[in-house]
Amino acid sequence: MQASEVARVVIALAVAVALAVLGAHPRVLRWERRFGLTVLASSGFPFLLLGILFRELGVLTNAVLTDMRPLFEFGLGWIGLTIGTHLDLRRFDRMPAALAPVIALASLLPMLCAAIACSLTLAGLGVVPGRGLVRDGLILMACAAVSAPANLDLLLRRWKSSMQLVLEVTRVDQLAALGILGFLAIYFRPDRTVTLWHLPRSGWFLMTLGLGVLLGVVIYLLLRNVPDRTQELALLMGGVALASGMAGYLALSVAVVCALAGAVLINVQSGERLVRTLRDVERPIYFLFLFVVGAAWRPDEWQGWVLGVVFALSRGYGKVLAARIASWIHKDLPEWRPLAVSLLPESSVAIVVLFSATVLGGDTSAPVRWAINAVIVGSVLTEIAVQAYQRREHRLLGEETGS
Amino acid sequence: MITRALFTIAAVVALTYATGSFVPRGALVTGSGAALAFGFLLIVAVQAARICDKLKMPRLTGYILIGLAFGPELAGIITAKMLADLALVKGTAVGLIAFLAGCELNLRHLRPRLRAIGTTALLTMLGAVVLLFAIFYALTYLLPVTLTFTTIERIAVALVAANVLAAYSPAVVVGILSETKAQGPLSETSLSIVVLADLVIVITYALSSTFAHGVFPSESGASALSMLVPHIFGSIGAGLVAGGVLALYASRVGSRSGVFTFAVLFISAEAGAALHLNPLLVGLAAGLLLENVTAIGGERLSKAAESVAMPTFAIFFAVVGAEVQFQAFLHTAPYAIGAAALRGLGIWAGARVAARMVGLDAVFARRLTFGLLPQAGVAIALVALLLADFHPWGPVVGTIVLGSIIVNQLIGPVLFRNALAAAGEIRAGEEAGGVADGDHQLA
Repeated sequence: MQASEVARVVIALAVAVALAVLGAHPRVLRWERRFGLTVLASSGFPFLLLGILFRELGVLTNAVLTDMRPLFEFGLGWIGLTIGTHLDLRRFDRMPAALAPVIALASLLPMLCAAIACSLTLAGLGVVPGRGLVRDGLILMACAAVSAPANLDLLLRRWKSSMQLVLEVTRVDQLAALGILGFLAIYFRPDRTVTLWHLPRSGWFLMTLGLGVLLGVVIYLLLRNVPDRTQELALLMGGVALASGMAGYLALSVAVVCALAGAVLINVQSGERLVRTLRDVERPIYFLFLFVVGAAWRPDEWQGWVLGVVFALSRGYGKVLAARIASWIHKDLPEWRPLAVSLLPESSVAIVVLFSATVLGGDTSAPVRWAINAVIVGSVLTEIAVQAYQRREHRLLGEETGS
Repeated sequence: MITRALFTIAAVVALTYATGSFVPRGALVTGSGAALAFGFLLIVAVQAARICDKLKMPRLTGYILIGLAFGPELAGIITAKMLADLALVKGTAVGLIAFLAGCELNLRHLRPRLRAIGTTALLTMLGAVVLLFAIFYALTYLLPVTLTFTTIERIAVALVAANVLAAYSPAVVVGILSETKAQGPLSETSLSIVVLADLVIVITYALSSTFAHGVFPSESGASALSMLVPHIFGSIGAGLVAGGVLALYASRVGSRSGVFTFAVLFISAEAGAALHLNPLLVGLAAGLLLENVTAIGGERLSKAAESVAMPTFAIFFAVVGAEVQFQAFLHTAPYAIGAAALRGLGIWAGARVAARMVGLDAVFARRLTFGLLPQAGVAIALVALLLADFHPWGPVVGTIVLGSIIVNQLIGPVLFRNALAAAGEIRAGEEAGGVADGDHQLA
């Protein structure tokens, strides 16, 4: 590498790191909460733009991204483990049984709607089965699943009891997205003839499950009765690196294996401190992924915008449909509008799914670029709709209270 | 505790070994190999640290032994490719270690003892260099590759080898002080001497290798002296910039300072690898600037960086252990052990003379010797230069030098820890650390 190139990479990385740390500052978090914004549409957005800028400047080259691959895998493992800790069966047991179909509906319908609409659009754009249609449809389906619990304070002011439901739905959404990601990793597994293990797909499925559970047990044993916090952090880092390294080495989905490990971990021990530690680092990792996904983003391709609009509309329609059915079958829930809006914003986990399924493997084909555009555009459109609704609600609430 | 640690090591070894069987031996798996090696080394090193705690041994020795046992030369679980991928972690670790050392060195506080520290550093180095020069000069009459050399050529060989082996180890000293939470005059003086002396060693190596290049003009390699100015001053400049950025961040933002410090040092290491900057000098300059020039002070950031320091130390020393060329060491063991013994003798003699000159206590001077015995980062980096720059004699002499470093690497930390315990500084540190909820305070 030339000295000028090095200087460019260093300045770029320094700017990205500084922004990532600043973006995780409590003041930024307070600001986002105040305006009811998700990471993707607020503090995360500059990272997408930064990614484009650095691609144009020749900073985020393939060589740099390859050098950073261990860091990416570690980040995916960390996020996966964090999402896995959402699968706390004790918490699910405490939920009223009648809410189970509501949660399932709220997760499944948007996925199905987005999958069908986006697959048809992709087919219309010339992507045919056997050339990535099914795969890209599934990726968009997984991205459509995840929602961020934004606007809760305002939208559910009148239905506080539903807060827990919305939170559970968003957690289940993330798990569902990882489930699809795991399926993608197994079904579209790269052909590595050089490897010594040759298993059928069902074998890799069992391998994913087994490895995730086993690593969960290993991390549990590592973290059990650790005397001090520094050692706990070191062992947690070691456990995540080992799990992500093993999954990556075996070409399994890193996030999925680590999520399984996280699920085991949270169910065998009460890990409030662990979850706090995991969440503490979560945000800068999202920024890092946004930065790299930004480098693969091509906003100049109209197909991506078409797909983005279809993605946002179909996903939104799915959420609305799910909210209407849920309100209809469960009378204690809020009316469908606020419920749908509270589930609409797109979670930054979508970026993790995109990154894991596309950018990490170095896939830069046109449908993948459109899918990236679709998720970003979809996120922004959804955010605009939610903000509009939020302002209206604010106004109405003000009128009601006479303020 | 020991049984549990051994069981964990066995389980992680079995898992990693099984994963390694996925691809044929020697095949490359980009990225994941490094993550796997990082996780494996970190977990196993922490278990080794627990065993060492029980056995009252330094954790660093445990980290090094773990790396040695599972590295490419012995068990082979960590392959050479994985080690190469971990080079960046190593560079960051050196930078972090130097940064922590710089943050502990308050020059105003040390001023009354600067004469004692300077004299001791100079005389211990001189003592070691004289004896090492003698043994390597004698060895040129025994090694087939140097048998036909002229006197001036023998002098050049001995000078370069003695210079490399005279290096100390700020990394080990900082690591031991950090893990034992030791405080007191021995801790402070040892740290000051090793940092000061290694700065001198880096400069004198450039001079001695320039002399050697002059004696062996046909050998490849540019004049080290011509590289000296950009190398040293560039590193110091980069360190001052990094220190300024850290000070600005700490004063304006403040949150997540530890992660930010680590990130800055990581970027410095990435850039340094390409621009041939010395991460030791970069980190040291940043730490010294923070502690001695800015209003922030080094303690705040060094404490914040503690959460990342422990895993970094574990990985760094495990990688150092894994890089040990065990087979080569076995071939040169007698010479290497002899050189290590003479180095220790030279340091001890230098410390004795310095003690008389500046009025230090004889027992203190003896204990100080043990703080100067360990070797790691700088010495290994200089050996790498020796191996690469001087063919055909460089690899032969370099292997002996490396063997000697291995001896100092394994024995040095144990002796230094014992010296700190004998001086009562570990207990003092533990008491203070207990009050500060485990936070280490070197000074």
